[in-house]
Amino acid sequence: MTSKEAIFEALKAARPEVFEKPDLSEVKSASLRYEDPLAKFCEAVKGSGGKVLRIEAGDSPEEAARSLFPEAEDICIAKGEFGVAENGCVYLEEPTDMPRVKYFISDTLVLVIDEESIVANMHDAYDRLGEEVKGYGIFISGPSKTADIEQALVFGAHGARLVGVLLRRHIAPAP
Amino acid sequence: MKKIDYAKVDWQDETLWLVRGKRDRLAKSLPEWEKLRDAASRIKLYSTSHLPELLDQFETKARANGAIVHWAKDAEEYRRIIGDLLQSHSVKRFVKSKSMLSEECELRPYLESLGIETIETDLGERIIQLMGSRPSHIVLPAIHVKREEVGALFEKEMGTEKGNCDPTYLTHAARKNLREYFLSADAGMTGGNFAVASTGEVVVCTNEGNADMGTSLPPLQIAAFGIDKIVPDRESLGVFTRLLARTATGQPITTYTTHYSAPRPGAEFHIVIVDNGRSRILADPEHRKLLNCLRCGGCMNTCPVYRRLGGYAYSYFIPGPVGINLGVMADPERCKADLSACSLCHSCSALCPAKVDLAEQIYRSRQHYCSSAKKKLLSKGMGFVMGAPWRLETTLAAGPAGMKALKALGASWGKGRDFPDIASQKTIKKLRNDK
Repeated sequence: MTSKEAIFEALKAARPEVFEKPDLSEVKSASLRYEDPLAKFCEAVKGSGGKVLRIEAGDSPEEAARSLFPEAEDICIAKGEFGVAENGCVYLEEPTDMPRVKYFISDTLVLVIDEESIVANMHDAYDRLGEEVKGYGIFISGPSKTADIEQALVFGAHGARLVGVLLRRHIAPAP
Repeated sequence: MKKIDYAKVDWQDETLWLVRGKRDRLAKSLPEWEKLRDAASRIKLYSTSHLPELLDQFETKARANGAIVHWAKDAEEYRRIIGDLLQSHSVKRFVKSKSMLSEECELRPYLESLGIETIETDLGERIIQLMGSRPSHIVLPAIHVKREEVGALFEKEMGTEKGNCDPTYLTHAARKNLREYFLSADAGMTGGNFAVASTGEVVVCTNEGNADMGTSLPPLQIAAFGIDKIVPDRESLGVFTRLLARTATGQPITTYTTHYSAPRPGAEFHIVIVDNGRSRILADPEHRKLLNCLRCGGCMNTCPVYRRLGGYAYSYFIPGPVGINLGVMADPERCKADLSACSLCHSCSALCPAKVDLAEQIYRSRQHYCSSAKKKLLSKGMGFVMGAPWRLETTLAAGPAGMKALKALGASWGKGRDFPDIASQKTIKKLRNDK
């Protein structure tokens, strides 16, 4: 008998009371939404220790990143898929133009998202992702942090010490 | 008897209470909070009653994603699978993230016995590893260690400035030191906060980014989790990711919430799924809800006993309310004394994000393990003494002499206990008259 079979046999022998899958639509629809999700997102990014800057569609992310962190030596700029208002997260997939480790090993990380991409909360975030598998995905909120020494908050434990989010403004449709 | 450092006790009590306060503020800011807890509990109960089907689905998806799936019945098999993997890949240096499962299965000593350099990369765990100690809290492993101790430790281990115990300075010294290990490791490992059946992905939540560093560079990645970590789909992750960090540390979410499904290009991704006693918990209707546990540590922060005792007072490697229950399930003979480290205030049950009936389980286990004949005799005796005023008065009058006798006897029960002086009859009479 393989170990998997042995485990499954034990699970079947356990005969636990069976519970049905709950319907999550109620908790999802009862969840807090924001009148101004963009403002909530900016507040949440700051709360997580990051910075936010709104830019125009045609602006250079490099210049905007430089203006956010004029002292930074090692800036990684990455394109995010969307933002989450309740916690300031940006969702990213496997990067196509650099190794994944750049998200973490860079001293400064600047994430670029479209400002209309912001969803209210994690329910909306996972609804947006659906069940499609892309190999890798990550939510990042603010800089790497720890409070393992006497609960004193310190930024830059192992990952990026400084994190900024550039919110790219929507391009108005041509009249 | 070891002298108690009361300043440290107070500090730990107050600090954990602050974490609990942060959790309260965030919970209260969400009107749907109780609905979230209820949803989390029901998803877990559904998942643990459909484990074979969800685990099967997970394995099929994970294989299709390109991961290699292993199954371990117990701690010994878990250790062997990981040890064999590392040896067959000629791993000399191994970086790992914080994983309660690896503590449960005592992975590190085993790997070290195979000659594999194994580095804990979570800052708290690294402090504990360098101290040659064990975590005293599952989310804040070094909560009992003062900054001066970390300063002295890092001075010895990393060559930091003598006497400098500034947390920022020390954290950045560890960052620099551990980066060398990340850059040269042959393999990296994480636990798993959630394993998603519908996608075959393992979700890991950290603040430091150590899991992400450790899995982004080496050619071999391992993720190991207990069968209780399975959740049906991403929709459920919406519920759990909203609850976990808010309860654990009072943050809206951890800095990194990473979803691993496929191996990195050119790397291998191995997943180890572990039972090690969980199917036995499932078979016990009075304790099965322990499998709901998210390992957030919230029950420790709220527990009035844990906050003052600290993690080392408990017999099991997981302390606090959930640790008392897990310990009694894992090894009742060794851990049943811990059942008394509870005031039955039910704060843990009221706070648990997945509604584990922690205090109720402790109460039931007490009925099972702690009602001895001796104790019954003692209650009967107390009942007799207190049954009539004159009997109580007589006993109290004998009190001071009785205490002296106990001290003189030096019974083993008395070792490490204080024998307070009982007031004399004269003092008691005086107090009565003063009233």
